[in-house]
Amino acid sequence: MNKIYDVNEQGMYIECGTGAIYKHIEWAANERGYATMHYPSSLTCSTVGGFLAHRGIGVSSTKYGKIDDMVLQMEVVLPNGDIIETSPAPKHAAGPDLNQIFIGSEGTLGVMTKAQMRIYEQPESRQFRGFLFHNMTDAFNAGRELLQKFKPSVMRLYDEAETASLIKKIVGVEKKGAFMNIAIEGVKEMADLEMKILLETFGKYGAEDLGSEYGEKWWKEKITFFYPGHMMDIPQCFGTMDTIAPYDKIEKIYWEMKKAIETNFPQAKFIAHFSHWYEWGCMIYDRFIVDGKDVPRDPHEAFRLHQAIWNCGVRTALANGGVVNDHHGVGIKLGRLMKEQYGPAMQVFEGIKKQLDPNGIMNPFKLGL
Amino acid sequence: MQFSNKAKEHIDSCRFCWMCHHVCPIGNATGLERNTARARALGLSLVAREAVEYSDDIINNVYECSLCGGCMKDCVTGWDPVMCTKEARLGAALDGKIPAYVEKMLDNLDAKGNIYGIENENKIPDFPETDILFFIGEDTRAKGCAKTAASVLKAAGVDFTILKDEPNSGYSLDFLLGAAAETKAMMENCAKVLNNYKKVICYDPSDAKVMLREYKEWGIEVTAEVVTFTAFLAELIEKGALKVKNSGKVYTPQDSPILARDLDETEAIRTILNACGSVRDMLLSKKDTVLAGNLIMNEYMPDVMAKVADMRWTNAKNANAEILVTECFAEYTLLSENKIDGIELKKIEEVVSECL
Repeated sequence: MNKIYDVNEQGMYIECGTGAIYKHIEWAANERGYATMHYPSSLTCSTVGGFLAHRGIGVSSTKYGKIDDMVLQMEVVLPNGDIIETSPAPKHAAGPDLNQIFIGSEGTLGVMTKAQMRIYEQPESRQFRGFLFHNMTDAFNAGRELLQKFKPSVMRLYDEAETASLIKKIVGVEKKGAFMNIAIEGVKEMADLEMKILLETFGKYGAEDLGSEYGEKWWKEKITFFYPGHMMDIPQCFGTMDTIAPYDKIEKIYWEMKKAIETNFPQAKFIAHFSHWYEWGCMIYDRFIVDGKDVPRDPHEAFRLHQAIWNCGVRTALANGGVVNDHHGVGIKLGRLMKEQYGPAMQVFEGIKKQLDPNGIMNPFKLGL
Repeated sequence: MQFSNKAKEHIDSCRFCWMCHHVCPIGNATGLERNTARARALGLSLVAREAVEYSDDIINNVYECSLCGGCMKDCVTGWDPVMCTKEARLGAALDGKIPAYVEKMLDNLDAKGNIYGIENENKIPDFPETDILFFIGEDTRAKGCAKTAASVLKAAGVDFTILKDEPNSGYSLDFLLGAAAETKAMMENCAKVLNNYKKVICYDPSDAKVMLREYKEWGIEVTAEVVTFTAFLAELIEKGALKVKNSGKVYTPQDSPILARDLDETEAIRTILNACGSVRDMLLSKKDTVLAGNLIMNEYMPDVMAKVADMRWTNAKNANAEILVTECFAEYTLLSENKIDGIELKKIEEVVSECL
């Protein structure tokens, strides 16, 4: 299931088996001068199907979209063995979107076996800029205003804690504040104009212009964050509890989650960045980290602590208008929280599950189903 | 199986992140999780910790690595899967557990002087003794011929010797057994012969690699200057000793992983091809090159080697070049056995010969 069947330059998609490693379809696109523009840190190790199953996202999503925005048609095998094809075009008025029923279903409703993934022209110009905001509120407002004008490809805001730790270590920003990295790309004339608008917009919010150096370094080191010595590791106890909300809620969610975690679990540090933005809101990629010395030695106790912090964080997000997860998926771990988010809407998922998988053979208990 | 402390440290530095999932030519051909550096690290880690026995299955997995170094180039933890894999092969030999297909190759090497068991017909004509040795290598002597390469050197006015009774450089033994005593003995024997010459031109990158690296690691002194055939040809062209005309053709080079990654040679082939025509690189080229075939592994994994060659043909065709050019006999052989339409295949010396 890892074949690349067709690189269709007219339709601007690559048709492939969902077992294809995403880097391989990126290479297939690159050979023809195109790119997939889907660049998560797991690009080289994960498959098309893996990203589709959990609604994955890449660093350039603000301009190019999430994985669910990048699919045209899919082939799916249902639990009863029937092979179906979703609509030949993702935008239509021919009923509910079958793509979106299976994307993010984490294997509970069927097996996606083939997909047509969009490809894009390589940008003529890609320009970076780093900024330092004095406070989070200004940063959110600046980002929201910018998104009403145009879409950068990369847009990442790091809270003060993460700026002082990871960003300082990897990118070298030594100042206090909230670092934001922006990349603008496309036709050079438009990219130049967008850069002008960016500088004007962010200037209004008192952002310090750090030039292009930090942004370029961030792009070069974008996977380094996940390597040994930078990423959290044993014996630390840590988790990433991403959520997403519209702009009228997201800042509050950030502060409430921070307060909830740091108040209820003083041994935990809370850091966050906001890495995927939309005209209507953005996601928060927030982490709790408990240093090794504060992790209970008993593994069951340690696990209980881990679960407790995670539950606290996600429930705080839900209570303030967020969701169970933005792009890492739900699985079994967060399945118990799906009903808390959806309430009576859960019956829609349960009904689909019951119809498609009456015997419960497809990843039972994932998504809380 | 006893791992050295160095190997244990290296295996332990693999953090099993699988960021190398995309890069292994064997893994990409088979689609199997076991054919990645990560899987091998997992297996060897369990063996090193004595959590599992060094079983036949793990040993077979150890022999499913081409030692091309693609994973090493990509891995940022700095661990060396190639070194650990070779040590694991030596460990299998010391434990008396080498697979039957490896035993057969070793028996062939003893009996016929090459791992393929092919009788040496010794069609090499007499060459006068000079101070330059043109070292053909085990693979070409057993399965091919270097006539065109020799005639290109002659055309450049190079006086060289080819030995009828050429010693084995030890590269195949090193591939199969790693740093065994037998490997060292073979290399020492070869070095004695090489040191009768001022310069040794290695036709096969594998021979150059062991002479320039493994011999040094063993402390085996080679006083002769060892150069690769590709580098030597490039030098002849640059100095004007070999005059070629531009064919107008578009070439795409298959960078040998040994030359590109082990010996840091990527420009020589391009110098030659730019003199003979023009170059259009494949997507993964130079140090990012992908293996196109390994003759030793072809003895026990021919279907996989066919797929490896096929995948490289796809890259070559997508480069929109007319001719794929190799600088390694093994890769040429396996690419030619799996040829596709729409693009030609030539060895570097064939390109030069046609442009003289």
